[in-house]
Amino acid sequence: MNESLVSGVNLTKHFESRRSPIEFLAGRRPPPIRAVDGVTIEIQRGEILALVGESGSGKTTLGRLLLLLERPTSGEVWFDGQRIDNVGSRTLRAYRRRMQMIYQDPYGSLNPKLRVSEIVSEPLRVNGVEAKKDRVTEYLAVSGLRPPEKFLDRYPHELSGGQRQRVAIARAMILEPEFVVADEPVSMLDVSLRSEILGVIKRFNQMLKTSFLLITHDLAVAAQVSSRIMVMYLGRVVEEGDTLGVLRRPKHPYTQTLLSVVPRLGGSLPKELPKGEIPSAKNIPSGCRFHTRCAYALEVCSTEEPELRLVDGSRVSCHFAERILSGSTNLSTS
Amino acid sequence: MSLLDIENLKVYFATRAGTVRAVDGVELSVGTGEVLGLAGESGSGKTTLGYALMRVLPRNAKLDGKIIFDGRDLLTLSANEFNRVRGREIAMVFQGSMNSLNPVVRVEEQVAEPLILHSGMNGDEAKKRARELLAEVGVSADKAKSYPHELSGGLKQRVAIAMAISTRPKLLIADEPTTALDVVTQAQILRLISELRDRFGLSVIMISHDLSLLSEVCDRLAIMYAGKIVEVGSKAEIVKTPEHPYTQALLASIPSVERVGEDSPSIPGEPPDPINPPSGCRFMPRCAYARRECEEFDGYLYELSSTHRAACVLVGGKPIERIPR
Amino acid sequence: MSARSTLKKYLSNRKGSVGLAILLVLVFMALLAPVISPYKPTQIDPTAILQPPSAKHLLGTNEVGEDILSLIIWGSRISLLVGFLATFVAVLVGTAVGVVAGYMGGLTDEALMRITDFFLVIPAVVLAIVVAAVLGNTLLNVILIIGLLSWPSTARVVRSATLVYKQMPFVEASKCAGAGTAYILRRHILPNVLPLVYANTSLTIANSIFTQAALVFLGVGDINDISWGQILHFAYASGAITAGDYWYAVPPGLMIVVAVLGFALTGYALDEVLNPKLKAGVVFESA
Repeated sequence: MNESLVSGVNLTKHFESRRSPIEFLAGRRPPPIRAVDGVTIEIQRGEILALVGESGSGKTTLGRLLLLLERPTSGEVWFDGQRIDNVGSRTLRAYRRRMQMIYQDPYGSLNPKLRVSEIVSEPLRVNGVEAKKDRVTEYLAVSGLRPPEKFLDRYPHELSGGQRQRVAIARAMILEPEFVVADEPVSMLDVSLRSEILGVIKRFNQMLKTSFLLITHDLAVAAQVSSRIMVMYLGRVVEEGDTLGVLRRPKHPYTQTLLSVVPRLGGSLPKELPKGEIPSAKNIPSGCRFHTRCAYALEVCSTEEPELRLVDGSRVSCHFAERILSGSTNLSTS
Repeated sequence: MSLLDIENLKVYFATRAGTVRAVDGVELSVGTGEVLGLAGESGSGKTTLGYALMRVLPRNAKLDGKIIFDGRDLLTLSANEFNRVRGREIAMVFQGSMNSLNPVVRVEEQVAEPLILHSGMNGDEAKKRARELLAEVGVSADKAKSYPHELSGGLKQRVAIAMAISTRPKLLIADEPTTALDVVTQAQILRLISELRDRFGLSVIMISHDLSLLSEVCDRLAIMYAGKIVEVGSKAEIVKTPEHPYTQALLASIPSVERVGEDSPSIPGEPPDPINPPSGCRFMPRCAYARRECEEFDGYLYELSSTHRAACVLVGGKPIERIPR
Repeated sequence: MSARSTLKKYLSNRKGSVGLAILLVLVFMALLAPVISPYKPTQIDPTAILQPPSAKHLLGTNEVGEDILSLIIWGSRISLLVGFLATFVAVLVGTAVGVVAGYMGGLTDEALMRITDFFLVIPAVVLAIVVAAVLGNTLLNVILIIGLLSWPSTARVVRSATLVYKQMPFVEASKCAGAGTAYILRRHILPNVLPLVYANTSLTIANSIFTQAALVFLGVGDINDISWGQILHFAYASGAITAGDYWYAVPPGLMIVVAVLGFALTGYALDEVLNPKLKAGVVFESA
């Protein structure tokens, strides 16, 4: 923890669900939404960690907890060797400029009434730094908006989705933060644009040594830029390791499932698909959370929740990780 | 024998800024029981093409050309006559349709509605049939009684599909059917559409910007750029031996989980202005192989085989260097 | 979305152009009153009392011999002035309350909204009469009273809009960068919320004009200031209405209707232009 830049220790975030009138009268509280349910995560300086999961996995909430945009229900958040989840708002503000966020929606993340130059220079002005035009154009250029001068006076509605996302990235990076959470930065863009936007993120990572937490549901996105992957399911980590290890030798059935359904050019749909949908975070299955949809589930899976343990260089939480690794019954098609 | 033959279809929108040529001379055909993938980036005109087939375009749209469906030219039908086709023989699942379900009506009633309107069933028969349809698409009986907000995205999309196929249409147009769905649900929905094709001989036009997704389920693929079809062929032909530079560039730009740590090259430049498209080949300003002949090119789809056609001057005889993938 | 393109869009909207035309006519009428009015409004002609329209008096005369057309023209000044000023007060207070309530949420929101509800529920006329009786029957008081009655509707509209924009990612992004509440309200919330306020403002002016006329008719406010409501007041008080002297009662009433119409049309058109998602009409129909 002294070496990592950002870490979350045993983080949980439970949201209260709304009470129906009957429950209110009976004085009962419905079960909370356990969005993040005991996650320990570490992000090193200069690394890009991909946080992979589907909706309901808690990945977005975890990202927001690390930036303290949500307060954890329990657990600790550390930044640069200091604990920050229990500090006052003034101290927190000082940390804020060192960590930023890039949002999923290119249409909602830019104020439609402001010009690009005003949007990108805002973080500077708000922090009392002189907003020199050169600096703004430099960041626009690195984000791939060339020539940058052409874009300074434009309004968001005059830009395409990809261009807006570049503006959003430039805005996030202009204060040269040490840590950036990118929440599904390309999922609302056309497939043909995604790689380039990811390239912008990689460029900033190399240029400024900024650490990124890249939240995505698409393993192809994780494959392109991340050095490590962490897979989440229903509020917990199911697998974590270096990118090549997780993608080439997945050890958790859920990771294998994700790999099998990633669209491949000229491929075909996987022969087996998990049944049903992700359970609600209000009603988390007993034992291993994935057992209701797992093709290999055995009895122990419904009673005992597996620990996160080291198997072949990755941390996995599955009772049978070794057997799955050896490929005795493999889901992925390749 | 094609179920659908589109001939020189044009859809122009009259706007204050000028005439937007969203679809500018499209030729396309779909056979019975075939899944055709229509791929293109945002702004290529693919969604407009889908809307044109259903004739649900805004008032300022002008249509030209022929849409021959089951032997009849749909564009010559009156509004009343076409109302009997739309929703009954041709159905559409719109983009984000799962969010357009009526929030105050139970799901099985919403599926029953087209049955009452088109098949003339009474309320009870229609509801019974609706439950059967929902079961076919994987929505269980107790979920069928739910309201839309109680269902997940995947289930809502299944409901939208059930509504669309309730009248056993011959053609289903699915516009970005899997956007906003999780990857596993995405695969489930695509599997469902394949099964519907297998079981009922349903023809499908699937519209998407994600060519890798389309390539997994479609029999044939058509690539659209700036309002025109630039290449069409079987799945294998398009994925393994694409001939149009845009198709090649598009395929190369898709991120792949196989290539860890590698970028996928993007296509330089921007698509042309739909109000003032350049004369000649529209992809020319961005094409690595552009030459003088491209300035005169009218977009004709040259035949490479009985199934494979590409609109590029380079196809007319001279060999093309393939982009390594 | 420059001012120029908005203006163009506005003028192409039929409601908008008609509304704007009406407003321009009325404003010019008020501004040029000394020039276009055939007589001085207080000019009395004892020989022509309650005369129907004639060549000399196009709208006839009232019970003291004043030319009604002149009264109408001069009356536009107070009527419009009260409309504008009362609305200014209402919009200022309403926007402030709405933005603070919407953005702060929680108890502040609850408290402010209950105060707003309180003002919404009070019967307008009763309050007006009481306040006028206590504070005096002056023009300024009428403006204040109407302002007090009108701000709640603006507050509600502004609060709803604030709630929408408060949740947008760009607001959070600004917070992330370290912006304080005042900055966010000034730079991000207000500029996006104001277009909705413009539309509401126009409707508030319409309402204010009407309310002023009603209040003066009832005797609240200085009945020596010439306004359309005041003319109606005397039309009633002098028995002209029961006597069937249409030329006295109809013109002021008509002017009020026209003014309200003008501002209402402008308001609806502004709404459509600045908030296109609200435009009535089918988005897609079969070609």
